Amino acid sequence: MIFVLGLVLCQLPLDTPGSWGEPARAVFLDASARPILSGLNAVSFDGLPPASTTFTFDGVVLKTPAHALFGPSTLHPAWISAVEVGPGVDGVQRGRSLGRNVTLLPRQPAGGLHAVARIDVLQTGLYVEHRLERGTTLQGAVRFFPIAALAGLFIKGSLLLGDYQLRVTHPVASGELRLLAVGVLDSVALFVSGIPVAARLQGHQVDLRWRSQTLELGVGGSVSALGLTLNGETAKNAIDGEEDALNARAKTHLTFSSHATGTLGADVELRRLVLSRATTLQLPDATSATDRTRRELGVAVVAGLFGELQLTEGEWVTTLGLRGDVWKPADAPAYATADPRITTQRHLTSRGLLELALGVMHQAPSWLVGVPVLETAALRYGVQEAARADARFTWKNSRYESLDAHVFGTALLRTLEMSPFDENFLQLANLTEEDVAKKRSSGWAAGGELRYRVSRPGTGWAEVSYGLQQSWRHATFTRSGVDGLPIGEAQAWVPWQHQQTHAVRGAFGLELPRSWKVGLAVTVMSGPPLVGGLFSQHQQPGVDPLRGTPRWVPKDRDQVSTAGAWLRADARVSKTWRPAPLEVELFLDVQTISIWAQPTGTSSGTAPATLEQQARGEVTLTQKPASSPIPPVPVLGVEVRL
Amino acid sequence: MNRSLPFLLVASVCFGAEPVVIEGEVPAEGLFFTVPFEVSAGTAELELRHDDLSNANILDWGLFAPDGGFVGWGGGNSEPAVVGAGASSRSYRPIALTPGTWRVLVGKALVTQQPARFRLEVEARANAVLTPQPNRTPYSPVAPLEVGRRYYVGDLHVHSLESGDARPSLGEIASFARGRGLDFVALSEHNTLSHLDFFAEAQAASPSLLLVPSVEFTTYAGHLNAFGVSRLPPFWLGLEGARFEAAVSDFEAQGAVATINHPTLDLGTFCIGCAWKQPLASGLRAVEVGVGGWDETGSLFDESALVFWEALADKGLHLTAVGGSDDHRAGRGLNQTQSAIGSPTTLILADELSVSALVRGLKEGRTVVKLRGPEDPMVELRELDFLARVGDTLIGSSVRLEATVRGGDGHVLAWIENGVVVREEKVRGAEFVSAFTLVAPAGKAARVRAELRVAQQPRTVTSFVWLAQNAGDPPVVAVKKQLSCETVDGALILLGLGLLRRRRR
Repeated sequence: MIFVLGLVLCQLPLDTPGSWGEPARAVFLDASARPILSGLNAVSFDGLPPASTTFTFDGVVLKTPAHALFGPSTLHPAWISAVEVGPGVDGVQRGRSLGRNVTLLPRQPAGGLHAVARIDVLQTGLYVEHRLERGTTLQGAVRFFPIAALAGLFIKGSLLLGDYQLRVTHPVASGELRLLAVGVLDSVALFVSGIPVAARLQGHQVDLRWRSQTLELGVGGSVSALGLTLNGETAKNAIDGEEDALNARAKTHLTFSSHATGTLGADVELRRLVLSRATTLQLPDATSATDRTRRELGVAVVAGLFGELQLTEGEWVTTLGLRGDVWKPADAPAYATADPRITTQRHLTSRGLLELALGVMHQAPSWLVGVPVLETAALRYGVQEAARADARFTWKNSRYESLDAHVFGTALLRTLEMSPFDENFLQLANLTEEDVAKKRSSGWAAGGELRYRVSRPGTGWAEVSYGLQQSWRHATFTRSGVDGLPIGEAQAWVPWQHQQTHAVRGAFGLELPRSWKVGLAVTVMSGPPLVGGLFSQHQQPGVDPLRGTPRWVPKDRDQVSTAGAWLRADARVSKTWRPAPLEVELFLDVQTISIWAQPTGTSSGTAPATLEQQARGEVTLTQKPASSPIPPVPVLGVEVRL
Repeated sequence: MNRSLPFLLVASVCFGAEPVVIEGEVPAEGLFFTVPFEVSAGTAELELRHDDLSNANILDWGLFAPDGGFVGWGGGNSEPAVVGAGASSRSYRPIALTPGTWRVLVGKALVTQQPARFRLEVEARANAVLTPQPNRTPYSPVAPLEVGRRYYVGDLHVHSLESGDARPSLGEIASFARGRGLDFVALSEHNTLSHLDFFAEAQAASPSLLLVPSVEFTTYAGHLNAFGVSRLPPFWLGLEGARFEAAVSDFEAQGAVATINHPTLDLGTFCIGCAWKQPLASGLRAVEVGVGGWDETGSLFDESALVFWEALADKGLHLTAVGGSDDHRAGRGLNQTQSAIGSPTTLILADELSVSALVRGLKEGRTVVKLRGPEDPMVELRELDFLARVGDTLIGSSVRLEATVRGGDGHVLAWIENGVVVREEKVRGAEFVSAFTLVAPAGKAARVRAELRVAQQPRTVTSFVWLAQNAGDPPVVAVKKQLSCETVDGALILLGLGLLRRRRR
């Protein structure tokens, strides 16, 4: 356990079964996490969209933490020494997010030359690190996903994924200078409705930081791009959105007394949005016409200033913080927000630690997952706001055994949650003030986790946990009549579309003789409400308004049921050899070894009917269960470590 | 080529007998074929049930009478077609069931699964089941609903339930259109004029909204609207000598205005035949630059439609800009890719609200297209100099023009001459006036249009003003530079997901 900013964070085992050997994926197996669809790398915490979760690596928020938005992690596994799921109410040093932060702690170079070569069913990659004599460290990794290329053959297209990372540190003055570069290159091409469609996602980040005991300075930049190309026979349209950003930050630690310390800091980021389109037309007379346009939307600015004071009074350690942010959309007036936060903790016993936290948070409108360009473009709609309280009690019997209980409650004062799976998603970037008002909602989320973990070095580890979550929105939606046609708008409490109430998990890892390791994780989780999108929309029998025959019509959002609960078992087995100076690990990590696909609702249709039956209007409605198409994914691989 | 399948011996339909079942294989050649069947005397009503026997293939269905007369076209509609003398199901006109050889017309909209087969069940009835439809009356133009020269506001692409893939009645359409403040709608059904039978009743019930008789001449290589239509030329191209150019000539001969619909909506099987691949026949008079409402598909395809329009203008085609919603639902129960009546809106400068006046306005190129809807800013383009006009072309070497923008405060007015943006101005105030002088070099026809841009995106588009010293001069073709300010919002990228979700015709 690590003690940071007054709140205890939980570490996750790096060899969690079902994570495919990707430590960054282990988070969605935590009791507090809810994947929006089992297997997808998009995790909801505490009743908030995955876009409210930030992934931080070496102090830098990763703008593209997952390949193709929902896929594998974009960091080589060898980078990560620990994964910590941060508290809900974090200190004011982290702002502009409603949710938790997942910290991917980088491996610190041990000295000399080290390398990790890894080949598995999904990815091929190399990680190298070297510590030079004068304290300079070099770390780098590159990966390519051959399985993606193979999958491309099955989808009659191509799927190419790749990433790279570079980290260089060097002692400078009384501190350390660190250069970090991370990048993602994804492209998908497939046939949709008979025409080739290509999509691409790229993200490149560079960050330069100097840090000492009392001062931290950093500058960075990023380029993120989304693109879509429709290659029709007569009309080819390529649409690209790019966000170029520059940021700077500074932070200083102050010591006022033995009982009072503080931190002051500021950060600013300038984001330039550029949208471009290229059209090529094949005209009927065999000539062609081309047109290219480029639009600079402008520069958006987000900036923050924070101050934090930590007071130690007897058994109590309290941190008071205040953060202010200014949000300046590219094409709208600026606005400001203030986030007061307080955290406090006290050792109740020699083994028990109580932590309490209270705070206000703000975040830009979200798009289900973090999508470059779109989030900045949506700043003109205003920000989301929440007030949250957390309480956690941790009992540590020893270094290897702990029990923690956590409860939280969040008042979602203003939400603006959009999704690629929304019915009106094409309009979302062109919302009028009236549209935004309808899209905005409020709500609440509450729940908690109970987690027991034990580990024995050389023997293994085990964990059981239970998580409870409820997340509701007071939203505006359309009511439908018995014929499926809209009859008006309503405002009511509706379950958040990815709410999954219960999560029970048991997992263990054993170290066996001859360097064998086995692990098993079993998860039982409730299903989300059937409001469409990734899951079915709850249907009920209705009447076709034209023919008068039976037909399925959608149930209103406040009346839907939930998808069925599901069980998933993941397993991992590995064998390690150590022919000096190498270490070779052969592993098999299977997500969903249980082969029980997550229920996603029902598929509604009509029974085959003869033409006479159709003529008489005899229509029989049918429903059958539907389930996730994501199959079990066994990842067989080998990792060679020098 | 006569592609009638030889089923004469087995396809004699007698009333009172069991329905005749005709099954067969779809011929490999051609896009259309017919399936004959005999009808005996005394038949009062025919019911045709059809099935393409495949989840992958899509066949369209229609009917010919023994004299070769076209009865109707249900398209991909799966419901049975019922035809009789006093009443018919939607998309078909009532017709006396004379004994003889009738033919089902079959169109091969999408054939991917082989062998492709079909099944028909033909039932003849001595007594009609359908309730007689006395409300069907032959169409005749109505007197002008309003007299006075102004821009009349409407939608030039709307479907009623007479199109096999649409739902609303004419009454529902009229009600929705009036609610949006429109003066007219063009009812453009897929390959049928059966809707015209209901115009008299619907027009009488909606005296302030003009129903414009139109048709969507739907081919598998492009869709064409014809406004002010009175007859439907053969659309079964390639069968029995039907040719596209002849159809366009027929529309022109009727006095109708033929429009290229959604020319760049190239979405494969998601929208069969939607992108334009037909020849650029000389009778084509207009093009849809507004392809569905801006908030729906317009933001994706309008800009490429504008490029298409300018490219054709560079070739000397004087096409009027129009826009149409292609609404099939009268604004109800629409999904994210479907637009409601009025989005986009087409404004036509005419002397009165009548079909003939609107058609004249279209032919003269006096239109403005509001790409999002009626509430968009207005741009009125007019000539300050009195020049002779031949069709849509002013005769002279120069002309002073004035663009008046209303409701566009804070936005940008662009003058686009010969396809190139030559000037942009910030619009200030509730009413803003900008002047422009267009010059036609000797032997060349120049053109200019005005475009109001909101957040650097086209929002209101005027048709061209053409100027030439001699009618028929070829156009000026300017060297195009990359335009500096067009836009597509990031959310368009999400279209890919929408395409995966559904398929429509």
